Amino acid sequence: MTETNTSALEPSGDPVRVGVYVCHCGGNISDVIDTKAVAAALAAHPNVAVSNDYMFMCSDPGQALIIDDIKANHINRVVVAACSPTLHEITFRKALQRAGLNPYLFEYVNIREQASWVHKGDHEGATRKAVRLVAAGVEKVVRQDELFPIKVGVEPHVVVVGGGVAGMSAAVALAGRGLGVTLVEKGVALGGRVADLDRVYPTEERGADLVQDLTRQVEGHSRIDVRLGSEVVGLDGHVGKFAVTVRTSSAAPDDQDHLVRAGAVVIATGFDHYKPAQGEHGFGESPAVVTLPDFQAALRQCPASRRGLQVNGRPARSVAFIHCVGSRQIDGVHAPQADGKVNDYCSRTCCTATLHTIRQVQSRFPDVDVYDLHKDIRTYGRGHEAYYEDASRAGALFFRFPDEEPPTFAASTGGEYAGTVTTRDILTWGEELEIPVDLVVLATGMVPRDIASLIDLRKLPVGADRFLQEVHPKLRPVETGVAGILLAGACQGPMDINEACTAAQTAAVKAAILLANPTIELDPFVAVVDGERCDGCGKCLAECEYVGALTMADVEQAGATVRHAVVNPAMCVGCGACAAVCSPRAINVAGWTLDQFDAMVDAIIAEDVGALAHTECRAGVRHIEFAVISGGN
Amino acid sequence: MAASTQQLKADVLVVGAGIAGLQASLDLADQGKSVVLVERKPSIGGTMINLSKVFPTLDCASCITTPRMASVAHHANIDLFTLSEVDGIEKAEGRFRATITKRPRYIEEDRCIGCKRCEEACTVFLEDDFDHGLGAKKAISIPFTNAIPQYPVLDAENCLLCGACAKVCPTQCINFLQEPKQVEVDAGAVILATGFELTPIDAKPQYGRGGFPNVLSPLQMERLLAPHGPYGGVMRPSDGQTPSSIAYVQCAGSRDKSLGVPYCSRVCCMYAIKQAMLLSGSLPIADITIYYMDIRAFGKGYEQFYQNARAMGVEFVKAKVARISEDEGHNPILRIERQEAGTGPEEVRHDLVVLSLGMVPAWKPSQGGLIAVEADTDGFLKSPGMKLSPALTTMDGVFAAGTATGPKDIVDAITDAGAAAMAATNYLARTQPAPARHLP
Amino acid sequence: MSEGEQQGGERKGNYALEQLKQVRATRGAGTPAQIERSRRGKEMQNLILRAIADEAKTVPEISAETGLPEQDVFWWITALRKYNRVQDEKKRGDFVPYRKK
Ligand SMILES: Cc1cc2nc3c(=O)[nH]c(=O)nc-3n(C[C@H](O)[C@H](O)[C@H](O)COP(=O)(O)OP(=O)(O)OC[C@H]3O[C@@H](n4cnc5c(N)ncnc54)[C@H](O)[C@@H]3O)c2cc1C
Ligand SMILES: Cc1cc2nc3c(=O)[nH]c(=O)nc-3n(C[C@H](O)[C@H](O)[C@H](O)COP(=O)(O)OP(=O)(O)OC[C@H]3O[C@@H](n4cnc5c(N)ncnc54)[C@H](O)[C@@H]3O)c2cc1C
Ligand code: SF4
Ligand code: SF4
Repeated sequence: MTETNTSALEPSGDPVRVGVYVCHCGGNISDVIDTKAVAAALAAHPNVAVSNDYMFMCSDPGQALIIDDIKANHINRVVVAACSPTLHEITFRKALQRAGLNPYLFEYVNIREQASWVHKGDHEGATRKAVRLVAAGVEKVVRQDELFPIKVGVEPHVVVVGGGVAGMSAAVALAGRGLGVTLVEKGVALGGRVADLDRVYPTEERGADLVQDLTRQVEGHSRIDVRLGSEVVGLDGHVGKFAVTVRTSSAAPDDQDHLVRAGAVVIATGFDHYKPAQGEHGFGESPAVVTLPDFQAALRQCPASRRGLQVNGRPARSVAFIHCVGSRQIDGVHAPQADGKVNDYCSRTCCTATLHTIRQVQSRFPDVDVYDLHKDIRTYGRGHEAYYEDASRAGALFFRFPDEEPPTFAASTGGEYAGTVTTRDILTWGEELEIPVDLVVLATGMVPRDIASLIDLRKLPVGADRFLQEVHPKLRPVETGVAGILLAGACQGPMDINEACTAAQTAAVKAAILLANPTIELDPFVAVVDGERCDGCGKCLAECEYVGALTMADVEQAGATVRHAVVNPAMCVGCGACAAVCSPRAINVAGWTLDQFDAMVDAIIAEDVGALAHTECRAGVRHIEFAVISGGN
Repeated sequence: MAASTQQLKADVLVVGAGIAGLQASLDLADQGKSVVLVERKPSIGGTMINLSKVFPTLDCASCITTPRMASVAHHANIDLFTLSEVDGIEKAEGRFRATITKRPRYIEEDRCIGCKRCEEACTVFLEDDFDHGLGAKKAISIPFTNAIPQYPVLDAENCLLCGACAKVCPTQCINFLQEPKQVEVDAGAVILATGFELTPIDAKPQYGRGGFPNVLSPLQMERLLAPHGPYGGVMRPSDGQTPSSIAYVQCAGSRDKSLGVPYCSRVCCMYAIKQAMLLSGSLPIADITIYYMDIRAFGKGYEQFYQNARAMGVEFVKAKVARISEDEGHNPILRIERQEAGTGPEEVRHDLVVLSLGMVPAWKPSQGGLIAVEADTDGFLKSPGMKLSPALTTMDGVFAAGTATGPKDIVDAITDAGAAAMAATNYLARTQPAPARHLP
Repeated sequence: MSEGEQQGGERKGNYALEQLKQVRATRGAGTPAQIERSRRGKEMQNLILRAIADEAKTVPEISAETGLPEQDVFWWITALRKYNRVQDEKKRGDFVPYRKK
C-alpha cells in the first residue's frame, strides 16, 4: 500500500509574497481587457509584492520576469493571468522550478477564454471580471500547499490491441526499443484489412507482401508475444502499471484468461467498411450494385480472359463508380445511422482507392467504359494525383454531382445494360445525365469497428464521428484522455497504410517516453486524508466511482488502531466527490482544498481587492509527498 | 578573434526547427537521447509560429507553438544552434560527422538581456521578412515578439555602421567584429526536418508575377490575420483600405505541370477555408469567395470545418481562374470560367486576392550541400519505405520528418516527427553499442 | 539549453568606436546606394510625420498631401506605427486615420 507523507502545518517564517503577472496574449487579452489596470488593482492586495503586465508571458523573457522576481524579490507564490492552463500551466510550473521554487506554488487564471474572448463588447466589465478572477487566484495560492509529483514504478511492457498494419508496426517499434509487447489480435491471423488488398496505392506493392514483411518482423522478435483469437476483457490499473486481462476463447476453458502487466496500452483496432443501407444507390436491390472492397475482391478473382471483365458471373462492360458512399453525408439528404447521426466526415482513402481501382480496370480491361461520379476528387497524397490524371487520360469520364442530389440507380428489365445511373453533372452546367451501366461500384467509406466492450472497460473517449478521440487534434494526435492509453491507425479516423504506420510509430515513441525511466511522475492533485480529522464514517467511499482509488483501512495512530479512509494516489483522479460529502473536512483534493475554494469565493464577491485580509506567514505549507508506488499491487 | 571549432557529440542531429524538427527533438530528448538541433533562421518555430490560427481547431498558433519552442530551448538534452547552417554531413564508420557554421548575430548572447533598446535606436528601416515584406523591422532587431531565442540580429548587409545601437546598449553586447563560428557534431543518427517553402508567387505570368500589391501570398494573409500583425487588422497593402470583397484562388501553384508542381499541396484548401472563416469573423460585412476545382478537406474534422465555412456564408465557386490583372486603383480583376451555370469567361473585381500557393521543399537534395540523400521526382526527399517505414530516407541512419518528404499539415508533420524519432531511436539501439539505460 | 557561449568580461568605454573604426576601414561605412536609400527613407518619414502632426489622416489623405505614392505612405505608416511614432484613431469609413504620437 501507498503511504502519503503529509507534514503538519509549520510556519516557515517567510512572509507570503505573491507575484502577479497579467499577460496581453499579443492582443488576445489586452484588446479587450485593460491589463495595466488589472495589474494595478492586484498590487493593492496585502500579499501581493509584485504585479506586472507583459505582452507574452509564455515567451522566454516573460518567464524570465518571474524567475528574476523569485530570485531577486523573494516572491514565493506566483499567479499568472493569461490564456488557458491547458496551454501553459506546465510552462510556468517549469519556470518556477528553474527558479528553485516548488512548481505547485502557482496559480493559473484564465482571463482569455473566461474574460476577454467572451466579453469582447464590454471592455470595462471584462476588466472588472478579470480583477476578481485574479484576486481569487491570489487568495487560492496563498493557501496552497507545497506538492510533489506522485511517482509510479513502471512495467517495461506494452499491450497492443489489434494486429493490423498499425498494431504490428507499433509492436515492432516497441520491441526494437527494448520493451516487451503483447500483441492481441481478435482474428485468426495478423494483417487486418491490408491482407485483403491486392496492390496498394501508390507504391503498387502487394498488400500480402506488406503484411508478410511485418508479420515476419513480429514473429522474429523474442520480446513480442502474439495472442491470436484473443480479446482484452479487463483493463485495470493506471499508466505505468496497467493490469490487462487477455482472453483467448479457443484455449482450454481454465486457461483462457491471461493477466498481462503493462506500462502502456496501444489501441489499433482499425476500421470497418461502411455497409450501405438497403436501397442506397440501389444497393441490396440489384446484383449490379456492389461496394468497392467487394469489387476489388472480384477484380482480383477475375481471370484475364477475352470475355472481358466479369463480376458475379456477369459481364461488366460499363462501370460507374460513385464516391462518398457513407461519408460526407448531409443531414436531411442522407438517412441517419443507427445512432441518429449522419457520417459527416470524409473517409480520406476512398477517392484514391477508387481511382487506383479504376486504373487497374483500365489497364487490364481497356474496353470497359468507366464513369466516375464524385463531389470532389481528393487525391491529396504523395503519388495520388497521378492516378486521377492517368484515369482521365485513359478515357474515364468524370461527373460531379451536387451535394444534395446523390446519383440514383435503376435496374432495367431486358435492356442491353443492367441498368441506368442518373445524375446531375455540375461540370456540364447541371445537366441531368443517364448512364447505361452493367455495374455500379460504391466507394464506401470507413466506420470504426464495434469495440464498445473495450471502450467501456476504461470509458475511452470517442468523438462525434464515433472513432476514438485524441487529446488534442493538432498537438497530441496519438494520446487519449486516459494517461498511458495511446491510439494507432484507423481506429482513430480514416488513414491509409503509411499514415497508419506513422501514427503507430508515434504511439510507440510516446509509450517509449513514458516507460523510459524506472518511475513516471504524475500530477499530485489527488485526495489526501487528514488523519486527525477522519472519523472513519466511510461516506466518502460510497461516493467514489473509481475502483481501487479509495479504501477504508485500520491504521496505527498515536498508539491506537483507528479506521481511516486511505487513498491510492495513482488510481484517484482527483474528482473531489469524496471531499463534497466529508463533514469534518478530513478529505481534500491536494491543491484544491475546501479552504481554498472558500477563500476564492470570498475574493470574487469582495468589493475591493485592497480590503482582503493579509495572510500571515502561511508559507509554512504542508509538504505533501507520496511514496513511490512500486511493482506488484 | 580566433575562430576555434566547438566539438560536440550527440545521439541524434536534427536539421530544421519547424514544428516537425521541434517535436522530433522532444520525442528523442524525453527518452533520454542527446540531441543537437540546427536551425538556419534566427528563431526556431518554422512556418507554424508565423501563422495566425490553425485549422481545424482555430487555436492561436503563437499560443500553441511557443510552449513547444520553450520546451526545446530549455531541455537539458537538447543543444540548440540557431542562425546556423549545416555545411555538410559525412557518414564514416557508422557515425555522422557534421560541420556547422554559426553565423554572427553581431551581439554577444551571454550579455544580451533582450531589452530591444538597440532596435529602437537604429535608424535603418527594412522590410520585415517575418511579415513577408508587409511590415518593417530595423537593421538590428529581434526577429519577432515571441522568437526563441530572444536575441536581436544585426543585418550586416544593411547596417550603416553608425553605432547608434552600441551607444544605447546597457550591457555593451554589440560586437561588430564577430566572426562566424565553426561547430563539429559527431552524431549516431540524423533527422532531416528541413520543411517547405511556398511555390514562388512570381512563377505564373497569368497571375501577374507577384507584381500586384493587392494580390497576396497566403502567408502574408496569415500575418494580416495574426493578433500582432503588421497593420493591426486586415487592410490592402496598396492604400490601407479595409477590403469588402476578398477572393481566394485555389491550386495557384499546385496541380500544375507547367510549374513543375503536378501534385496537390494538401494544405491550401484548408488554410484558405480557415482564413475565410477568420476574415468573416473580423470583417463581418465582407464578401469572401473561394474559386476552386476540388475542395480537399480530407483530414479528421476537416470536412465538418469546410461545411461550417459554407454555413457561415463563405462562397465557394467552382471556377478556373485564367488570368489576373488590376485596374488603376490596384483592384485585382479575375478572369474566371465558371463550372456551374457556365456562361463563358467573365471578369470579376475584388478588393484583395490571395493566391493559395502550394508547397515545394525548402532544401532539395539536387541543391547539394547538407547530405547525399536522394530526392523523389517531386523534389521532396525520397521515402524508400513509404508504406511501412515512412521515416526512412535513402541513407541508412538518416530519417525524415514533416514537410521535407512532401506537403503536410501540422498534425501530420507532428505525427511524422514521432515516427522519425522512434526510427532513429531504434536505429541507435541496433548500431550503437551503449544500450538504453535501464531497459532489459 | 542556451547556445550562448561564455565571453563575459568588462568592456572598455569606447570599445564600439574602436570596432567601428576597424570595420569602416575595411568595409566602408555604407555604400552610396545604402546612404541614398536611408536619406530618402528619412525624407519620407518626415513628410508623413509632418502631415499628421496636428490632425489624424488616412493613407489616401496623406498621399494627396505629400505627393508620395499611397503604397509607400502605408508602408512607412506601418513602420512608424510599429516603433510607436504613430497611433491609430477611430476608423473613418474603410480607412484608419493615423496621428503622430
Ligand atoms: C477499399 C479500400 C482500399 C484501400 N486501399 C489502400 C491502398 O491501396 N493503400 C493504402 O495505403 N491504404 C489503403 N486502404 C487503407 C488501409 O486499408 C488502412 O490504412 C489500413 O487497413 C489501416 O490499418 P489498421 O491496422 O489501422 O486497421 P485494420 O487493417 O482494420 O486492422 C485492425 C486489426 O485489429 C483487429 N481488431 C479489431 N478489433 C479488435 C479487438 N477488439 N481486439 C483485438 N483485435 C481487434 C482486427 O481484427 C484487425 O486485424 C484502403 C482502404 C479501403 C477501405
Ligand atoms: C499559409 C499557410 C497556412 C497554414 N495553415 C495551417 C493550419 O492552419 N493548420 C495546419 O495544420 N497547417 C497549416 N499549414 C501547414 C503548416 O505550416 C505545415 O504543416 C508545417 O509548418 C510544417 O512544418 P515543418 O516543420 O515540416 O516545416 P517548416 O515549418 O518549413 O520548418 C522547417 C524549418 O527548417 C529550417 N531549415 C530548412 N532548411 C534548413 C537547413 N538546411 N539547415 C537548417 N535549417 C533548415 C527552416 O528554416 C524551418 O525553420 C499552413 C501552411 C501555409 C503555407
Ligand atoms: S475520400 Fe473522396 S470518396 Fe472518400 S469520402 Fe472523401 S471525398 Fe468522398
Ligand atoms: S489542397 Fe486544394 S488548393 Fe491545394 S493543391 Fe490540393 S486541391 Fe489545390
